[in-house]
Amino acid sequence: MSKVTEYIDNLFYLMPRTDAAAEMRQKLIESSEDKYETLLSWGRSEEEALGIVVGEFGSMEEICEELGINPMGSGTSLNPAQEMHLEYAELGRKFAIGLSVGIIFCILGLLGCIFFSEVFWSDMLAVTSLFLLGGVGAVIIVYSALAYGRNKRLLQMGIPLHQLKQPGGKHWTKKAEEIACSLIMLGATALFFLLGVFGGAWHPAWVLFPLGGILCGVVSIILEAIGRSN
Amino acid sequence: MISSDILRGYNDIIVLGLLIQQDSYGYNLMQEIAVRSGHTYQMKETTLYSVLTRLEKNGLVTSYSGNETMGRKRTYFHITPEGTAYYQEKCAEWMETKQLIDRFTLPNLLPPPTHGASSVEYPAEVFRRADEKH
Repeated sequence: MSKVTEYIDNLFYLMPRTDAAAEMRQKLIESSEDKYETLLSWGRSEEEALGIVVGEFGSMEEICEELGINPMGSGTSLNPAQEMHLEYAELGRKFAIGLSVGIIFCILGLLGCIFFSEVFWSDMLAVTSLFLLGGVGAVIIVYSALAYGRNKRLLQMGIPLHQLKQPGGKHWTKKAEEIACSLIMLGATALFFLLGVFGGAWHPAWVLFPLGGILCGVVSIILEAIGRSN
Repeated sequence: MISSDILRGYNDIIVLGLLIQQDSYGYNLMQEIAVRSGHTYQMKETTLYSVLTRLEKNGLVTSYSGNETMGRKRTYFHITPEGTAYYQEKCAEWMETKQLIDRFTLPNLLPPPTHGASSVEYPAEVFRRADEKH
């Protein structure tokens, strides 16, 4: 590989590997090599010729602009520090929302408990309300706290979150799996309370939990297979 | 030396003006530009190829690969009928621009010419108007 090709390869090192970029690289190498060899044939030394080629090459900014791409690592017009700052603010906001929604659910559960036991004199409904709404609230709080902790650590390590989100399309099966499992377990809990409270069948109803677990496993295997076949 | 910023909008004309005569490849175009401009303008490699890529994207030129005697692969560029029409349009636009700017560039306000320079002939009318003001 000649020095000219090496030089251009270095310039393209940080470019996204698109077809357009590859084509551009090839054309630039073509004409730079032409120029280099002509200069050599005019009696210039290799160093001189390379110096001239590099000096008259121009700037990669023009190429990026034309191809509509950015060198890897430089996302937007914002500098990385500003971007981190914005992401951090956004993260805090999401956590606050998650926390408040979770707390509201817990309070609703408690209110429902009082309401049902005072107005309807129904301990069963009261217990159901407390556990169901309170449970949902607790799940939301735990989830948002975990997400906050994880993303904060990533930001502290200097990893922008939007980079992680980009290949999100690939993992839709993973997301679907998470949602399906939480719905299954929530349904199992609801059924368990309904059967227990209204049917007094606490004893055989506990079977719902291991059944839910098995169903979750089946769903995740199916979704994984779908994901892999895509 | 003319700044490349000013020429930015005219690189299309320069490249199309060469391609309208014959098909050509990258290095040849750059050399041709240098020679024709009397070595006052050296188009950068990246400038030339961003112009060519844009022209190709807009259907004003097409490219094909041809083999030179050395056996090296070369990409040739060919102007399309749309490219020719665009070139003519741009030329007309340049004539208008030139006439306009000429009215604001008065030769007697230029710094005194250096020895042997400036063989440019200005229309007498330009001098008359400038004189009237003084």
